[in-house]
Amino acid sequence: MRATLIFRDGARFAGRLMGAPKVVAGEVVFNTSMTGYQEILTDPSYSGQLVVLTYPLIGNYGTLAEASESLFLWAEALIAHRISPTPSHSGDPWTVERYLEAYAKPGLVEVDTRALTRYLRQQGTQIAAVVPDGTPEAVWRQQLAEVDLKASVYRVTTRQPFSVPGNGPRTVVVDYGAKNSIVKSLVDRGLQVTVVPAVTTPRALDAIKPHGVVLSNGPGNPADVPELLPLVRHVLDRYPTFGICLGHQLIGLAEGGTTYALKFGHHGANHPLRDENTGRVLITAQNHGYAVDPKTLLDRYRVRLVHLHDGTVEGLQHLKRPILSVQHHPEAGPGPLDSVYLFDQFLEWVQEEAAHAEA
Amino acid sequence: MPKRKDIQKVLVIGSGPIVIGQAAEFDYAGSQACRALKEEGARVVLVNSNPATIMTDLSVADTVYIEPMTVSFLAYVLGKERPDGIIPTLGGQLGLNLAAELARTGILTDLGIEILGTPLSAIEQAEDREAFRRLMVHLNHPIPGSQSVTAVEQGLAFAAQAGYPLILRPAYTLGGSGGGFVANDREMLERLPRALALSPIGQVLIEESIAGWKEIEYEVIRDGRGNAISVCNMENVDPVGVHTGDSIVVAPSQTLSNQEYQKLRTVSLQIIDSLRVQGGCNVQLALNRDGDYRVIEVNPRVSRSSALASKATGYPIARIAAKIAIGLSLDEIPNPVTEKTTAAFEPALDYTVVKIPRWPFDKFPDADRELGTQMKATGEVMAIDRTFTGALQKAVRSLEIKQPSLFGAVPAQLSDNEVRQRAIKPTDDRLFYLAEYLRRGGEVGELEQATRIDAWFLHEIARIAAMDSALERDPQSWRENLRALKEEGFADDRIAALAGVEPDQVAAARRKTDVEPAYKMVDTCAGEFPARTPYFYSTYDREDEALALGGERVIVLGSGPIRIGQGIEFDAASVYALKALRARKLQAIMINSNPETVSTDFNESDRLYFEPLTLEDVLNVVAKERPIGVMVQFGGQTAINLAAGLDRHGVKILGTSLAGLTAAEDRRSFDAVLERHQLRRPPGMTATTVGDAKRAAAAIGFPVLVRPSFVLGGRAMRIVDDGDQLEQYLDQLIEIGPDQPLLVDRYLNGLELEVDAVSDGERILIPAVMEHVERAGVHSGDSLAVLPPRRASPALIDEVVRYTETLCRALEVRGLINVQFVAVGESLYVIEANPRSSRTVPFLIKATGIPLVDLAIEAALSGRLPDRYGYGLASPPKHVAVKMPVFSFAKLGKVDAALGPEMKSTGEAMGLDTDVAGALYKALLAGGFRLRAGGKVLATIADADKEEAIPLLRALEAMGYALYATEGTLARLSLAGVPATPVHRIGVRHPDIIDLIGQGTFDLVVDTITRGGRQESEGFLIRRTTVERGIMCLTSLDTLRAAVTALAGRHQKSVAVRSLNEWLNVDVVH
Repeated sequence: MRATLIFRDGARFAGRLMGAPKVVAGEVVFNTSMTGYQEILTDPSYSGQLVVLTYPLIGNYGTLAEASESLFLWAEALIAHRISPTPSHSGDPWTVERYLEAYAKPGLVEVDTRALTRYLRQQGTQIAAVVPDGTPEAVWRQQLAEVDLKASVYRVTTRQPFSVPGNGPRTVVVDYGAKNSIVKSLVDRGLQVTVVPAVTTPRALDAIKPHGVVLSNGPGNPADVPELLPLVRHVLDRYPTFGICLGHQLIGLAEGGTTYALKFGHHGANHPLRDENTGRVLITAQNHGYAVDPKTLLDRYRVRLVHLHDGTVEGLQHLKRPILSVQHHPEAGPGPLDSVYLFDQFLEWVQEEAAHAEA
Repeated sequence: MPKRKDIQKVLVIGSGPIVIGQAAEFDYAGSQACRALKEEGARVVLVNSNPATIMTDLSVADTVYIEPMTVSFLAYVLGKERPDGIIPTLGGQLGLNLAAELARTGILTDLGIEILGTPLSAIEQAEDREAFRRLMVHLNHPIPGSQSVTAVEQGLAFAAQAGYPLILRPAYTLGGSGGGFVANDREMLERLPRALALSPIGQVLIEESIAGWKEIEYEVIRDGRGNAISVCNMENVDPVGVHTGDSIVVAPSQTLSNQEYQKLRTVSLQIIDSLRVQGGCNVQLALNRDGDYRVIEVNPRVSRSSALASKATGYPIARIAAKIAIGLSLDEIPNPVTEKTTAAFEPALDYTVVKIPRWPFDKFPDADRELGTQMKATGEVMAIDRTFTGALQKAVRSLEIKQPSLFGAVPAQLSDNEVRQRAIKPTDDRLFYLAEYLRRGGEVGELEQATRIDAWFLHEIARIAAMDSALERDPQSWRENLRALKEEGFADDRIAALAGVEPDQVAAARRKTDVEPAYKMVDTCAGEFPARTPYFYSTYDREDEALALGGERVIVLGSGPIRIGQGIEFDAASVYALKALRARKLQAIMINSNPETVSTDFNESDRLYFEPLTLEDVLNVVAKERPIGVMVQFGGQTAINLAAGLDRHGVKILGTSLAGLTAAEDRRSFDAVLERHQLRRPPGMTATTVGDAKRAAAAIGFPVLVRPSFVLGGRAMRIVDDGDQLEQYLDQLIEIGPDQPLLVDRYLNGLELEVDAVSDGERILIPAVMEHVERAGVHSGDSLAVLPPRRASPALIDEVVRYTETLCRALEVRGLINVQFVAVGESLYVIEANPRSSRTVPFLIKATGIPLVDLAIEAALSGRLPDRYGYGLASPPKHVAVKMPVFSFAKLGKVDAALGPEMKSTGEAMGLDTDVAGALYKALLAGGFRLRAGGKVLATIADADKEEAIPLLRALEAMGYALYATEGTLARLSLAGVPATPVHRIGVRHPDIIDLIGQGTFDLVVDTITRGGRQESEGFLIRRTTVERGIMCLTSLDTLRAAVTALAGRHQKSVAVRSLNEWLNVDVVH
């Protein structure tokens, strides 16, 4: 079955439809990572987005149980050049087509994804719909018009708190759309983790008696969810805090800063940063369309990590208190692990806090 | 960390002559590095003995030394130039070894010269197996269980404990020389002594076999501040067991999950961080299906793989490494592709790259074609596409092995079982058997079990195999499936063959239905940022992004993969051509498929199309670019072979017209030209049947020289003494017929002379006449050549000039021509004339300073050869230049080291001095000839040569060398009063001649051959043992005479170490 990606400005990219034969609309973003398609598809930050993968051969190693970043395929659609019908890997992988079918998401393949990427680079992030050929125009026009990403966080956050048992210091992950890799990075460091919904009362959070809090990644525009800021402020005042991606942006807003949209965002596994603490370049995984403007924060925070391509803020560290927030993904998943040591800094704070609490 | 102020002058060590395992990739790396260093304001001194390189051009480095790559010559140069630092990591293994020796001897410390870039300690830690093992244990990275041994007993002891199969890896050798699998004690006893001997430090690592694991490489780069990135990862389609240089390789990896990819990336970066590498580094890893991995080896220098990675990604590793060496850090170096970002990022690819090696087995049918840990390929091709299958099929047709497709290469009558057997055993052509086996319905799962090639690759091949056979079953379906077929890389030729139409009909149908290639850019960032790289590949996808170039455009066709007979010399000429075109404000467009070379550096042209050199692919680019014409005279036979097709499609050939090219190539018309102008050639005839050939030989009279027409480097060329030998030759010859005529010529035993000239059809310039040391019968590419001539009389030289001028006018040459002559007495005969660039053009440019290619471009474009260098024969230089062929016999089992009419050399070295003896001495030294004072020389001389050999051997003995000889030779020497030690012939009594050679008793072996060269003969075994032991074997008395002259001269006069600038009176410009 043929289908077309139709943009609001009328631009069209044709392809073959696989997975669920339905119209889906959302923000179109491209990701340049050459591996990790499954991690990308299951990353809740992609909720509301149609993901274009620039690497032309997708699905070569199929989908693997251990590669999911969440329990659901969150991207609204996958747009690719080719998807392998015959993946090969140990562990009896599924094809990506079967994976899309299982989660009832459409895939648009045989697309000139490079042309599409060049279009997005020039036009910036745009809204579009994947439209199976033969769909009445009114249907897809309506869906295009109705795209609303404001509530994205609430779609992806956990309904109930849950814990990963352990004996170490207690950490809370506020789930705006957290990736498994974040939780795993904490658990791997011996921490006991409780994941709580985005909407959690300060009192409920305090009741867990955390030694540290992680504000997770998540979808959408941070400026759309001011109602989440009180909890963020509560956390910042009381606990060692590690913000990642949306969590980082919320810290920026909670502290009185502003955020702004990037033209086409950073989505890939090859983004260079400098850690000003060490002067070293880090290659990092990134997935964000907004950035924090640090101007009004610099009396309390210093810019610790800077993006080498465009100078955007990639990490802020509080001048006095144990607060670190990063725009990129130190947990990788998918991508390089160059900055995973930032979790160790958080771990140190959490351990100190735990020791202090015990004393 | 800004550029270091204390580094003002840098010496770059090149990699010397081309041998298997150390080839054109180092010219690419070196020339890029020299330019990068100059950009940063450093003065660059370059040493390389290989004249066929771009790096030795005076426009690349400030000062160039074409001197032997030995510690002593480098010491002279260092003492003279006093650079602040040297960069050893650009000259391959040779460069590293030299730098290590220079450091060990204390020369660098004495002269206050610093090793720049990756420190020597890192190199030693990576190269010394034991030190490397300790580091890996320390880092907790698993390596194959192993032990370094220096004696055979230790090897057997380890085997007893670890069990077979095991792998031998000699320390510090090129391309894994002497390495390989051993399956039992017998093989261990057979191979380990040789491996120990081939290691310059007598050390071999014996290792657990991880054959069948995935072989993965990471090209990583680290700066002095510790920033490290991975430029590219690559996956070998052939699993561990086949040398990566002999493997089909894809970039990026195709079958690795993100987790696996990142794990191996992290390991690679940790390793270079621990080694404190400052520059590029190659890390080879093995990955098992269960996720287990092993670190195989680390090469802390630029390499063939780094050249491939640079071309595959657009990220210029050598250039960045050079800047790191003088103190810059990655985030201070601008990214030359995007111009906005820095070198501190990792390229993202949005295409797939396939590399296939090119092997020399077409020239060496007797060679062992099984692939293993010993690299055998002479070159490689690369192809880019947005499908793996598209890239794979493009790479196949880039190989120039007459295969337009992955399919159709295997005879249909071969049984399924035979096909399966050959699909499993790794050889040069196994890819075609894999394809055929899958085409016949072979099971992927079963094939994966047997080959350990990942099923993903096999499925991909199986998928297009099904398309191929479907088209065969239903030829009419080609039109409706055209786009799908093209997306999977099917050539028009293949579609036409299956559909039963002409290739042009397929092309026409494509144009009509808009199934045309789109050209996409290699931009390092998958389209994320605007880029200006003039580097494109074709793909059957929707958007063409190659914008029209302004101005007048000229396409230069490159020479494809490096092979014996068509080496780096043609790439150098192509690069000179691009430069000359750009100097004339024309848009110079390059088409080539060779990832190793300078011509495919996208900085060398206004636009680079990385495409196969086939008519279809070239015509597509022509249609896209609409050039004023195409230059076919620089890309060797590859480009010449395309001339007729291009002409037929109305494409303008710039330079000598197709008529001129054909007149020179077609035997009958060439004879007519010669006859018309009363130029002599050895009597000869053309035969199109076996009977014809026999009659021709009888009419001409033995000995005759036989060869198929239209071939490279004298493939299948033989001197035949009698009817029996002719019969034998014709039996083996597959190709004879009206399209494949056989040339039968009288073999004239005389003095060979050669010229390269440039002409506009009227005016002619001959920069020099080259005289071959070996008499006719040794292929010109395998001969020592001396310039200016020393034996030819002035009258003979005049004849050479007259012949050349006559030919230039008769063939209306516009550009270059190479003419080979044989002189018997004072009579001159033309052997052949090729109106194109030749193997000797770069050598001549270096020897005379005359920019031959630039003049050729001028003549081709304007129709008028400028008189800047006068006309006729240029006055000879005051110095003497010698070209020395270099061979890779040790790498190619079962190939006879004897010289003959079929070319066998893989590279060349040059010697320059004030006299013949000095130049010969340097050339021999540069070519690997080593004879220490009092060294031992073994002579085993054919009866026919004995008389001639005596004075030469006497001279050697008089110079203090110790002679050893076999029975007959010894008798003849005694009779002449020359003392020699007897050596037993094979099997007479041990130790016999083979034992002694194997033990490394001799420093030089002289073994002249009786023609007919049957493999089982004693001589063959002597020569093979000699070359495998890494000892030079001279098989022609002419070469021996040159060596005697050189050695005698050395005793009388010191050599002159001068820069090329000094020899050519060119000022060093800063």
